[in-house]
Amino acid sequence: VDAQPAEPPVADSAPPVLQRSYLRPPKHMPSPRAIAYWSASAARDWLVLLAIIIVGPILLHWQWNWLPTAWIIVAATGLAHIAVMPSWRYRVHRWETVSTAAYTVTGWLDRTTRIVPFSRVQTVTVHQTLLGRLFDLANVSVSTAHSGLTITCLRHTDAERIADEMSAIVAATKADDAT
Amino acid sequence: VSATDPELPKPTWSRPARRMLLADPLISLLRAAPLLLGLVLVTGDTGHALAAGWLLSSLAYGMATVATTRYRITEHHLELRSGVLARRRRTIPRDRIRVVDRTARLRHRMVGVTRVRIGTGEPGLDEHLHLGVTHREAERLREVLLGRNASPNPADSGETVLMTVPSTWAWFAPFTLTGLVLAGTLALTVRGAAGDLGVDLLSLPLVTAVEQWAQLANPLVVATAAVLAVTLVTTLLSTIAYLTANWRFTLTRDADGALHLRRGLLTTRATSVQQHRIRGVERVVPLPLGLVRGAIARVMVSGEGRYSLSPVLVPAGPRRRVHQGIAAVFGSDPTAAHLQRHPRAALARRLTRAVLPTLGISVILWWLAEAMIVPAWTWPAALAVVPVAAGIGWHRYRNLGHALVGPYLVSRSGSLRQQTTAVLHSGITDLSLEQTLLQRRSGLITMDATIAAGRGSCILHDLAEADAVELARQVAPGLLDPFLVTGAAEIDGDTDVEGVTTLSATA
Repeated sequence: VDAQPAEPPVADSAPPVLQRSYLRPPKHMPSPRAIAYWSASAARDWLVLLAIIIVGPILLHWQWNWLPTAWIIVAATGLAHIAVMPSWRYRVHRWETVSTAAYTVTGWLDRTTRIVPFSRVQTVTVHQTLLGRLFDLANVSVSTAHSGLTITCLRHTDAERIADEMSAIVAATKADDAT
Repeated sequence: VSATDPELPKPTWSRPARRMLLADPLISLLRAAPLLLGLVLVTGDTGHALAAGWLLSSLAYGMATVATTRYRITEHHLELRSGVLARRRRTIPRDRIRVVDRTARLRHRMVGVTRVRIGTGEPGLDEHLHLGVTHREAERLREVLLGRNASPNPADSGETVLMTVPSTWAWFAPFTLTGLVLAGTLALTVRGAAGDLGVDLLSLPLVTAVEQWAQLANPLVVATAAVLAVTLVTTLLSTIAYLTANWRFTLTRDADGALHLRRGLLTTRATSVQQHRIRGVERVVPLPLGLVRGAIARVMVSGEGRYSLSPVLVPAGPRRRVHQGIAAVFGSDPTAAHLQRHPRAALARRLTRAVLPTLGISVILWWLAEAMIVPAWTWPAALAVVPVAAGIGWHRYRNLGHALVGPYLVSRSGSLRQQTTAVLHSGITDLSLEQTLLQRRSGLITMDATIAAGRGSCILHDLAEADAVELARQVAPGLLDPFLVTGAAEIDGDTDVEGVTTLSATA
């Protein structure tokens, strides 16, 4: 794209909008295994935290009366998080690709919508976490110069295929020179 | 240094100016003088000896690396090779080169060399693309790598002078925050040097005298004196820094449309930016600078991965002249456009986020004061900060705004550091819309337009939810269309759940 910063800005020439448009949710969902995966990874993180606050004071010979209360609070928060977050997240996470762009909605309490045009994509990556391998789940990331998006929790074979297809689209799309 | 013709397929390798070997190691040795002197004075200290040994060996290694560096420019590539033990050869496509920055510090100017930094915007690579060469070779590299018309002298090359900075603008320097940063750096340097020499700063006669006076005098007088002293030091340092950095600041444009920024008294800097690499402009107003109606402008160039490398387009100066400077480059100043205010709900968010934490701290301090853990005066002091925080919150809302100005998306935010960013629509690489739980309840949304330049994005905080999609459609024409529905109500998430379908094969 040939930018012309020296050109004097013209008056705001937005086309008249007759009816308001909305972004519809992306079409596809993550693999249903994602719920189990998110539960397991949250459980792992809370257990690590719990282990630190239980084992740490014992090793350092700290004896505070309110320590057991703290353990109970952390354990209860963790259980509530594990009970609520995965299914809620599964209701929010969506992804879709068309010939020009990739589109995702992620999060649960906070939500993030991302749209990346393939003309600006630099790399397409498939990656699997250690825990993800147990569930045969993988993520596909498309990255631009400063940002990008990730489609999370797909079956590994699906992730590989989608990444291949996106790579083909990226290669076929004439790159915009925005970097 | 032999001249190489870029058009020949296999030019010979050039080497950096050998005089560079004189300048940098000499300065390193001078810097390490306290350490080396300390080694002689404080005998038998293994820590000192180890540090000195490490210093000397790294110096030797650095010199050997420079001595073995060779470079050449072929038709399509810039090639560099260097290395003493591990040899390395880098081949950089010439069309990846965005910036050629020439910096000559005082020590370099004394031996007649310029340090050339080549910017590709690739993190991890740019740190290594430095060459110490003669002034003439530096300009030749710039010409060959970025374009052919510019010459080192703006007068005889058809360059138009767009703006110069008179030294009187140094009055604005104390109102930026550089003075505080410099004072902090100076204090750390002095402490480090004293430590190396084995001098205890706290037992110097001057320091003890001041300490005794401070303990006896009226606390109010002591506080006033401290504030005055800090103000004096920061004013002095920031003014000197401003004058040395922005001496003879000249902004020119050559026949190709490339911008050239030249400045500096002791260290001279010259930055060249190709026109088509410009992605936008940012106007920054730190609160003190705003009080004296000043501003700073930076140009956002793709290929400069770090914000600190975004070239200063206009240093701290009168706001009117900053507008003129931006307009000289961009035709008109998009950062001066009238901005659309964000919804009132955004004010509530700013206020709660400013007031709640300060109020919370006051309550905790009150509780701790009751338990005799902290002095009793702390919680009223914290409570007194609450109105100030509320004022900042209100000011943050006042500054919040956005607009579409011709080909630019303009966004303003911040209070202590107000920033107005104008980015070209065509420079936006991707879009994200973010909504926290609380934002969803108050119908607000934050839009983040990513650009491959400057800070890396243009963020519009707390837009009205309904406006965000329209705005996104206009800054990125066509991008959202496949995902849009037109109609009265939002469609809920009841979409086909068939797992993974194949992508369309239209590409």
